[in-house]
Amino acid sequence: CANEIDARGNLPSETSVQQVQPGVHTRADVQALLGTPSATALYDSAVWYYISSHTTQYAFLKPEELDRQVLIVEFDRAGVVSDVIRIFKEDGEEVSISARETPARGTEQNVIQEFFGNLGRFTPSKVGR
Amino acid sequence: CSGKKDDLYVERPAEALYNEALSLMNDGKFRDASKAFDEVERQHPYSTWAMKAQVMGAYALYENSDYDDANVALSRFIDLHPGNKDIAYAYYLRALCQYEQMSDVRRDQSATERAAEALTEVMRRFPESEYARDARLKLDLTRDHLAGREMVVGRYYLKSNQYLAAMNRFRKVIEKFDQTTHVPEALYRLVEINTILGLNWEAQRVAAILGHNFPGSEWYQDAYDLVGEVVLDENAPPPPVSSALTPVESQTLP
Amino acid sequence: TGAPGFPVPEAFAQSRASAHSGAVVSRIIVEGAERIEPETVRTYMTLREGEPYSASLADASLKALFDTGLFADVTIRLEGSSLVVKVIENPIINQVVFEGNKRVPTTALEGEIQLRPRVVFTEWRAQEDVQRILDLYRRSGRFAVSVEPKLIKLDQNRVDVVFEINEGPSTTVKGISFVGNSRFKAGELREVIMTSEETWYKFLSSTDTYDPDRVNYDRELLRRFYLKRGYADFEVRSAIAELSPDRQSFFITFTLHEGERYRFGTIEVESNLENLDPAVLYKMIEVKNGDWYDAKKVEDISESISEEVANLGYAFVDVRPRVTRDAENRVISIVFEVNEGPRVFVDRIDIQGNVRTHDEVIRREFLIAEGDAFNSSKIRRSRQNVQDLGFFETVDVSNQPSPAAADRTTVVVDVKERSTGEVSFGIGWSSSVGALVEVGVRERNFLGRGQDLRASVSWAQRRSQLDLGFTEPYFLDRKLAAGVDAYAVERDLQDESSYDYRSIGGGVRFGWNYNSAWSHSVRYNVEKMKIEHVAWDASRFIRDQKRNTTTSLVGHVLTYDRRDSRLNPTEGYFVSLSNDVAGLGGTEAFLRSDIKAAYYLPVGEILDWNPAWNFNLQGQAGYIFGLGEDVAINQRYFLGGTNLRGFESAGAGTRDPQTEDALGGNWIVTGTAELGIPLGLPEDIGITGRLFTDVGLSGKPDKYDAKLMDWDASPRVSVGFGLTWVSPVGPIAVDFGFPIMKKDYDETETLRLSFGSRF
Repeated sequence: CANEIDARGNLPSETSVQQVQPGVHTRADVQALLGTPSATALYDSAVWYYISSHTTQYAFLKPEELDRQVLIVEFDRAGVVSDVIRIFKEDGEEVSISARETPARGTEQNVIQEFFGNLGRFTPSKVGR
Repeated sequence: CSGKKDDLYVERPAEALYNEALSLMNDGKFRDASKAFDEVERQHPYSTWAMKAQVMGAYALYENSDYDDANVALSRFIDLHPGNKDIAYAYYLRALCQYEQMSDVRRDQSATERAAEALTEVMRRFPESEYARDARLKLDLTRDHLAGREMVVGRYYLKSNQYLAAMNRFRKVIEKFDQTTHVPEALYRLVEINTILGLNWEAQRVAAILGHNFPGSEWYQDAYDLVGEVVLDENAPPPPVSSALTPVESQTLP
Repeated sequence: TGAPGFPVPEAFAQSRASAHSGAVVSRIIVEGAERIEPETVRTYMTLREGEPYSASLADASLKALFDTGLFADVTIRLEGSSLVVKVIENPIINQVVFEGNKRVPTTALEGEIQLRPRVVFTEWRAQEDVQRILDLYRRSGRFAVSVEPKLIKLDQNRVDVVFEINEGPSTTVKGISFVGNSRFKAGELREVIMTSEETWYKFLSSTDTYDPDRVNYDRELLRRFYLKRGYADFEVRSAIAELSPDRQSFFITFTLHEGERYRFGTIEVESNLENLDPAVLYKMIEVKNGDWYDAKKVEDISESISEEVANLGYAFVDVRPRVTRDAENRVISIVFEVNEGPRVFVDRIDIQGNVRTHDEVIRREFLIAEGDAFNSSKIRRSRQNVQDLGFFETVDVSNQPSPAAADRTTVVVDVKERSTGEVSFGIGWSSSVGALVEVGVRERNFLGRGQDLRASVSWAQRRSQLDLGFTEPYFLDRKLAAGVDAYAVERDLQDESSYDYRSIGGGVRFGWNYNSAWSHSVRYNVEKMKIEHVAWDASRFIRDQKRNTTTSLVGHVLTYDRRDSRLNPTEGYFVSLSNDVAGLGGTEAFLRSDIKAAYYLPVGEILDWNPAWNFNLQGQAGYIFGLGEDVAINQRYFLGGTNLRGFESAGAGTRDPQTEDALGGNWIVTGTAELGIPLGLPEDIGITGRLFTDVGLSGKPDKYDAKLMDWDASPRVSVGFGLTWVSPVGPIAVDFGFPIMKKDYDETETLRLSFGSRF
């Protein structure tokens, strides 16, 4: 039985990507053709990203990224498309995610409090009041 | 309701009732105290004690951690007596009612959002009052909490290699919660994600912002290991140093 | 007094500029204010001290003061340069009392009205409350009610409010009639709608009262009933309820336009999606040319087509049935148009209401992530996943346009948690183990992490048991449920087989799904068992059983589940196959295979009868095969009791005639057919009835000796009926089973009952 393939992110159709003409189109044109970008570069709206991928997940195996495409649309100072680049999963690198986490200050409930904290919460008398 | 129903209807002078309620408060019997304060107001709605009793009744409920009831009592007081001298305290106590109900970052944050709103209102309405200073301290913590939630969700998406979802969550922390303690990690996570996606010069650019604003942080050390010495090529515009990002002493209200 | 402490509302700023230069108001004097502070009156007024007087400002202040609802009367007059505001305060309510309310309890009334002790009394609020009380009575079907608010004056301008209620006779629906129903008799249509006529035997029923909402719902039920049977032009022209002069009975008349009955014509699929071949989608169409038209099927087909297209990787799917109606020969042909849906993306998924559950426990059940395309069928399946966790009373998923951009939407998941922690204490009795006391702690959402922690101890006359279990549904962050169990059992089987046994064991298990239907689990289990107190007169075959055994087995279960819900299925079927191999260490060596299957049919829904009608067919077969040795008694199958009602537990298998001890068998086949029947009782009592027939047959043990053992392969059959009452104490189930095919040496038992505890 074929398992489900999930389309992820924003995959503009091939035909509309071809229509984007560097040197001619402005941000509004690209927005009309490809829709709102998935993300833009940090603090810099001169670079638009359209990120999409196909993933599948079978039985208890980890979800697997079959393919990934990042469509990069760059604008020059005048706000006109200066370049359209496409990079794929192979262009990326494997990175092991850092396990460190910034502690979230405030009400960190300890285990006992979490477990017994709510036993009384749902007594009908309390909810009904 | 409670056993001693009959004496509730004994008409007694306002001041005696008020003092009895006050003594109950001091003995820590907050539930009885709040009932006694209500009694003052019910029997003597016109006495000056009635208004004081409304505020003290709410405070008793707050101490008894009946935050919702305290909230209702305070809102009624604020509607009835907008000109009262204790009005700043009423707004502040109402904000605390929300603040106490904040749960940790992995759980529902609507109480945190309400707390942030209420604390901001205290600072907006009574900027000079002594409550404003404490309200701002607590506001920083609620902001940190809200940022903490974004980080939890961001890390979840990163862990299940949903890079786009993770990226937008960490960007939200950087753009909307730039005063919180989570910004360095959020910047580092973007370096990680950009490297995975193959956007290497974007990874370097973010690493530069991280290094510039938080040079001593461990996160910059990790970014350094990942992206290597950040070589800023000359013609590229200098990494934007958002005024909000550099740890700034003076604090303008959002 | 200085300028007011708050920012001044803009409205005031403009009006001040336009006021003509009247006398300047030096002071505002407030008269008659006892409870309300003069300062408060001043803050609500738009006229300020030190500003020029103007008629429009005075009116505005007057209106503002009235709007506060605090004052019965306000007059403003100018005396020289000071403005005198004379107010009469509305009284404060001391207490609210209801008299004459028998049918509706006081607490319900108090919940409905606005007036409360210590709140200001105003005339219009009192009138509003009268209306609210009348509506409350109307909803419970009493229209002949009159409500009279009375005030009792107290000192210090306080009042007691008394609502005098005269409930009058109850108004019930005496007659329901239909006009224009040529195809279906009135009796059939009455079965379809919810509102029912008042009849003597339905004294408990609550649907024989007139409730406008219920009548509207009846119109919808009629529409669905006709549309399901092909009457595409059907509509309810009107539904009129007339009240008898004595206001005690209602007569409802539905005027219907049935129209013609249509059949399906040609049914096609058109695809406007890039390289999507429509032929692939035809398998989704269950109806064929010539079948009677059925509107609901058209909806279901559109839904399944859009789900199939989404599975093929198309993010945006919008399936529209284009209907062309041919009135002469009454044929409706349909073209399912598959278009590209609007390109909308999910900006954020915000989860709220999860006061205990971690965000991740809910988020990981979602088939879409932030940034993905908005796909309503995936969101619907995600919502079902979250609901199936069993941690929440309600799971509402809604989407709001996101501020970020036009083609972005925010999905809001609002959950209302229910208590998943149970500290249960049960007293019960059941035919198989006698009187029973059980203490259990169960937390299905341990620490909000979605983990399941179970610990229970139970003492019964013939069995005491300790159970511990822990499950992590997402082991190693994968969709892999891992669990560990430990148990200890002391069982008295003197009645059945004249011996007791004591066992202690534990195991590890892993489970996963291949897709929504297929799931699989593997386990390793080890158990040490000690047989003891073998009666001196026990059957020889029992006396020669090994006393101490250790079973170390590995097993797996493969399940194909197409039921509509795992908790209480009403439709669909499931089949599960399990095999266990014992012999990797331990003293026992055998191979055991079991197969279970169940089929559920919502008869009531399909035939549009009362939904309580439902049918289910369940079957089970098991076979155990010793590997190089005989199968020990405690591993064998025993027929009778819960798996064959009408017979004592282990009452229908192999038996030693002298000692009447049950010896069990190496194979078993059981089946049961059950029909849920409506008892005409209202829903909230919670009693359901059922008719059933059980069939069962079981095999011989190893070393079978025809001379010394009674055994017969012929099937045992029983019929019977049962009731289940979900009482406040807990579910009480009683089954009356009557064996109709049995062997004379079988031990029968008509009544099986269990209550109070969770079996």
